[in-house]
Amino acid sequence: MSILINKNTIAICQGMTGNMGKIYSRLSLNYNKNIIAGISPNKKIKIIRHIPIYQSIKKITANHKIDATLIFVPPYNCKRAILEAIKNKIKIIICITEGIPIRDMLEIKSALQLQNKSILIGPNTPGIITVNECLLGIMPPNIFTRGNIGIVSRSGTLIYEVAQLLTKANLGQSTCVGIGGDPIIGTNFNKIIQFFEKDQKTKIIILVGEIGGNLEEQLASHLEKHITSKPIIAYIAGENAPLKKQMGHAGAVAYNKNETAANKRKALKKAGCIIVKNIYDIPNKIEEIIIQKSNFDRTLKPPKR
Amino acid sequence: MHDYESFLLEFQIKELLALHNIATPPNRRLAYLLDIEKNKTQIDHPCIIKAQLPVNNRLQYGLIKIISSNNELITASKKILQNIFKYKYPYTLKHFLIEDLIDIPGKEHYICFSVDINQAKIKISVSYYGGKMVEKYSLFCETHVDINTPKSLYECISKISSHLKINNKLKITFKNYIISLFNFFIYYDLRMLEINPFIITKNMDIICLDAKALVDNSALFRQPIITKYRQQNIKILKPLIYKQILTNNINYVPMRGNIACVANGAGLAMSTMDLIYSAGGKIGAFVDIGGGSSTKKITTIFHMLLSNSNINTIVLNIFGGILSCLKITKSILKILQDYNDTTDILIRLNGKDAQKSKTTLSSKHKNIVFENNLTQLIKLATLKKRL
Repeated sequence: MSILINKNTIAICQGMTGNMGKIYSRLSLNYNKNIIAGISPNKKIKIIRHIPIYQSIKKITANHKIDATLIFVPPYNCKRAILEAIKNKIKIIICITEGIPIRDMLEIKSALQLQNKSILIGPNTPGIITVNECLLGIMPPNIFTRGNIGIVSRSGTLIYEVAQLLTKANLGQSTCVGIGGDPIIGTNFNKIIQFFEKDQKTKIIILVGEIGGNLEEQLASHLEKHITSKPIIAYIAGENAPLKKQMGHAGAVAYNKNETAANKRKALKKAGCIIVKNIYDIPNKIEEIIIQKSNFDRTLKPPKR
Repeated sequence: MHDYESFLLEFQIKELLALHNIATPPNRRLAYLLDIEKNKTQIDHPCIIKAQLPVNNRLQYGLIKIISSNNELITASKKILQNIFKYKYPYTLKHFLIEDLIDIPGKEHYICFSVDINQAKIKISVSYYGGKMVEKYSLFCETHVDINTPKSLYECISKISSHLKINNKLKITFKNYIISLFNFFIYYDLRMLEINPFIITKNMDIICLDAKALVDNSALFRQPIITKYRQQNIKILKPLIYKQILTNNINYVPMRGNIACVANGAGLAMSTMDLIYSAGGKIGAFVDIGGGSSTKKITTIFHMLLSNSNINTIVLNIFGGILSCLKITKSILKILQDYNDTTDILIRLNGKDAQKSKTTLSSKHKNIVFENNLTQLIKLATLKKRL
């Protein structure tokens, strides 16, 4: 089965009745009907877009098995929402919200480390899409086409750019994951690469990194200890970013030379990744890899419902 | 947001430390330049005068002086102003901090609390040598604390105590001091708190002699006092562009070239920037419009870019996900009505409402070009060189 989410995923949406949730939950709702309920402590709203609203996760998990939750809750209340999902052992927690205070993220990370049922994707992510099966997030659906290439990225808009580039070159995608653009996020590259490694539907992986933090270095040490059979093409954004300046979202700051794009490319190259400096070289690299593979499907037909 | 605005000034931190019963030097008062010139501040015993600017090594750059009389006060304040001018700090001096000089002998140490992003823990770093000696003899002891585990804090405190060779009689006082600072660090959502130095006097008092702090901008919604300080601090920044950036909360990095690189999303903006540099272009402004930006924010960004005389080309790369391309083009249309401008605006639109938006702008303005191929668009951008 596909990584993290698929056509059988049963999801809820926290913050569905709020300003962000009201507008942006529509994309995920309409994609493949994976969301069966919303969560909102507001007692007045009982149903929105034909979806029932429960006041707490406990109330719905009593009668339904829930695999995932999509969170649109605003920053001031996000910690409470994520901790509630962890307490209720929801396996996949996807938090779209940008701007959660750092102190709250420290508490959330502390709670995540004490258990092994839930993983957090985000915050500050456009979510996850398994093409033609499940969308939990805000990615525009029509740029994706089904295939064998997995994408994992810190930047949201670069997922769109790479996916569109691949689709135009008649190369389809399996699952695309935004791990988030904040300085402290729930899941690093390592775990996602492990998932892709076990996923029969993914044959090539594209990794989009950027300046700041040490997630790329963490992946490099992981790859040196664990053999990954699938080729990883890595692109690191921010080669020309000045030091110590925040280039957009909060995670994109290179505080010293260790956190620059050049350094990350070096570490990933040493660990066996194929490095591209220009994002438009990605389809060419993939063509080179495909020539060596005998059973690679460029695009796949949508699965039968 | 950017480092230069998430700082707190020394007197602001000391005001807050005092509220939490953490000792600071006595008789702390702020003096405005005018007060000193008009002889409103009276000095009759040894004091220390410090320029309130968010800069490092103030002692070394002559921004801190020791004074014992009114005459010395006037000379010292003038000398400090000269030094600020001499070293060209991009800040305007508003206050001096004057406090009593601690003349009781004691040991000065260094302590710094910060958020270790990679480990998702709070890092406490101490050095036996404090004050100006820190950089020369830096022998740091670093420990990490899990925010939800009090035990990890106590373990850190014993490690720190032995590194600083704390006397047995002082162990409990020192432990309480560290716990107070830790709680203070968390209470105000700080990203960094540096006490350099704190002094442990012969009389067994622990006093914070200096303080530096950085704030988490995401937490401002629940920090009314810090928000108030931040608004005051924006006024001491000299360059107008920083004031505009901070007042309007925009992700804008000013640089030295002639091309503005604008996109909705940090990664997209950075990769566009990298392509511009590869093609030989020089960036004068890096802007991330972000997902949920209002029309007002977008128009402010374009006002800033069009009124910047260094910028003669804007590269706009929009991939609409949350953000609709229509919002962008409508905002640009609005602004171009106010500006009779020669700035070239090169636009690439994708995603939500891309096709619809092109028709709102296309034939009306000669300086606007739509191009779907980004490499081609950037080639066009680099043709118009710096004025």
